[in-house]
Parts: sequence; C-alpha cells; structure tokens
Amino acid sequence: MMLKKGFRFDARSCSGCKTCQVACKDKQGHGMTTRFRRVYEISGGAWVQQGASWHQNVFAYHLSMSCNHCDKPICVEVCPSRAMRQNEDGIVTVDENRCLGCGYCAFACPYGAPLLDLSSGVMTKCDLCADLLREGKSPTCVAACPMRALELEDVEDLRQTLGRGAVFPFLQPTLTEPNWYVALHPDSDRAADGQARIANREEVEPK
Amino acid sequence: MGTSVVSNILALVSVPWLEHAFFRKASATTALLACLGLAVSLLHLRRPLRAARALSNLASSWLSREIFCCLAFALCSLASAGSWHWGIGSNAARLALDSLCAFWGLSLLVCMVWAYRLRTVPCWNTWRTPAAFCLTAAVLGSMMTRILASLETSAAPLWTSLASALLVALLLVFATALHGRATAAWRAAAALFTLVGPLLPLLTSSSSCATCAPAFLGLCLAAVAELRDREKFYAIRDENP
Repeated sequence: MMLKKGFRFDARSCSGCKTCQVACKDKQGHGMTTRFRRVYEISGGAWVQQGASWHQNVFAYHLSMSCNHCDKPICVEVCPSRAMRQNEDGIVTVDENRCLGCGYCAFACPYGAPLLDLSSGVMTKCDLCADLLREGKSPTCVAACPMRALELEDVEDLRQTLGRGAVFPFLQPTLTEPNWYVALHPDSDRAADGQARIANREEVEPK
Repeated sequence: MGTSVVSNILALVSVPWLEHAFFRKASATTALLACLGLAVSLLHLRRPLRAARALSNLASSWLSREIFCCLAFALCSLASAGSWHWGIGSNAARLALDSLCAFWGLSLLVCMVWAYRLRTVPCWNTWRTPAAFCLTAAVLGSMMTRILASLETSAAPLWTSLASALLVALLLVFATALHGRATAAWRAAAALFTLVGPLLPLLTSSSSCATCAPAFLGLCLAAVAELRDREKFYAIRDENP
C-alpha cells in the first residue's frame, strides 16, 4: 500500500507566502487554529566579528509541511482503535466513527499531522484532497502555490531525483518513510549543525 | 500496581509477620487504586463511550496492550480483594490469585513503558523512561506496602520497617539523580518522614499509628514529587519539535 504520488517540495523556491496553508484552510473550512498544512520559518545566524569589522551571516528558509502519507505510518501502527488506516491507494485517513479521541496518534506523529477536532471530539487530518484527486485535479495546497515550490508527482520519479525530507527540524525520514521529497535549501546544512531555530514556533505548533 | 507487586514479592519470600489482615488491606487498596486508575484513564478520552474499541489493535499498538493489561489487572485485583474479604478459597489459592494480579501489574508496567518509548519521540525513547516508570512503581508501591504493614506492627519486627524505609530512601536518591534537583526537596522530605516513622516506637510507646502517620505523610510528599516529575516528562516533549 505505497502512495503512488508524493510531495515534491523545493525549499530553494519557497518564499514562505503561506498560500498553501491558507488555501487548505479555505477548502477545509477550518477556523483560527486548525491547520492541516503549516509553513515553518527556519532561521539562524548572527553578527560575527572578523578582525576589526563585523558582518552578518544570517539565513532563513521555509518548509511547507502537512501529512506525508508515510509508507510506514506510525499513526496507523499506534492507534488503539484502528481508526487510523492506510487505504489501498496509500492515503492515510481517519475513520471518525471509530476514533476515541485519545490523541495518541498526534503524540506519535513526527509531523504533527493528526489534529483533534474539538467540535466532534475525534481526530482529523489531511486526506490529500481525495475528492479532487478523483476528479484528476491536484490537491488544493499544490494548486495554490504561486512559486511552484510544492508539487504532487510520481513517487518513482521523485525517488530518482530527490531524497525523502531529511531536514531540520524534522526527524530522520527512515523512521516513518514520509512521501515528502525535498530539494534542500543551501543553508539547510547550517541548520543541521544546530545553528537554526523555528522562528514561528507558536504558529506551527499543532493545536 | 506497585503495592500489588511489592506485597506479593514479600509474600513469595514468605515473610513470617505478614498476616491475613495485611493481605486483606493490601488487596483492597490495590483493587481501589486499579479501578480509580481505569476510571481516570477514561476521562481523557473525548469519546469515552467508544472506550471498548481501544482493544482493537493488540497486534501493533502498545496502548491497546496497556489497556488490556490494565483491565486484566483491575479484574484480578477485584477478585483477589473479594476472596480475602469474604474468605473464599484456601490461603494458597488466594496467594496464587495475588501472584496473577502482580503478573498483570508487571505486564501493565512494561506496556506503559513501551507506549511512551515511541521511536518518533527521541526524548522519550531512552533508558530514562523505563527507569523513571519502574522507580515510580517501586517507590510508591513499597511506601504504600510499608504503611499497610505498619498497621500490623504488633507482629512486624522493627528491623523490617527500618529496612523498608531504607529501601525507599535508597530508591528516592536514585530517582532524584534521575530527575535532577527540581523535585529533590520533596523527595528528601518524603525519605525523612519514611525514616522517622519506624523510629518513633523507640522513643514513645509502640503504636501502629505512630509509624503509620509519618509514613503516610512521606507517601503524599513522594506522590507530589512524582506528579512534578510527570509534568516535567511531558514538558520535555513539548520543548522539542
């Protein structure tokens, strides 16, 4: 049950405009706090002294993140009620009629994908806009990106050109094998060295 | 859970001062705490009426397994408490039921540890998680067992109480080293009261209440320290992306 298509994200092109995030919220009709897709602002660097002069080495880049419909989805593995499931097409969905609302999937997911819907008391998550995919269209977030930094492409093609997203602040992709293939920003190496932080932590923290 | 395991270890090594009354109190306390724990675990579900479905994924979910063990532990502890209270069956049969209860208690502890040792949460996926959970069960279990045993001091030699208190103090030192200074003061106070209890009969006329009251205060202080540790435990995860 492997996903046939995966996200291709170009961190070099993303401007951090958050159109993908807003388009997703519009389609889902979410309120202020629920976000299936979130844009992380990663920044680092400072003023450094070199001889008698000072210069800055600051850097920043953005990462657009949602559920990556992992090949080894830990939410499916840990869900005690089998409400989380991976469909035949590889898309990970939640059966709202089975969910207990224990929140354990949200605990386990390294990408903060499952979110608690306070009104219904069950978990909810991105379904890759399955309704649009059935019509042959792209997911809303992909269609909305003005920089073409986010695309949905064949996984086989992506594997030949890019690696799964191994980038700060996310864990090694070998843990869940996310279908998120990233063209890394040139400064992502510096972030890996511990020089970066999430600048918009309050905004991207799952609610 | 800790009370059940510790009291059964004492029973298995055939400590001679353990009496029928001790087991009646220990099994009733275990059953009460197990049922309370089960009820509290229902409260954090947004859909508690669907709780039975939590047993659906025993094949891969440690949370499912934890809930299964918790149910088995609660049922066994209720059966054990009933058999001691109404005197059903022989002593050997009741001790066998207690041992089964302790087995499910230990299984619950193992499942609980693995439910938190998620491979995607590096700050929990370390040796500290099993160490913290096992120490919590050992400290609170042995303190509760000592309180229950101290109600039977007429039969218990003083050295057993002192040994029990020293064990608690030793475990508290380990727990303080594990969790840092945040809860050290609470733990030190708990260890002090646990040690003071058994010494009181030497200074005053021997009385079970004299040893029980400070030990109970020590248990309350240790429980506060454990709650603060738990708060820290969750905060570590929230501080990491």
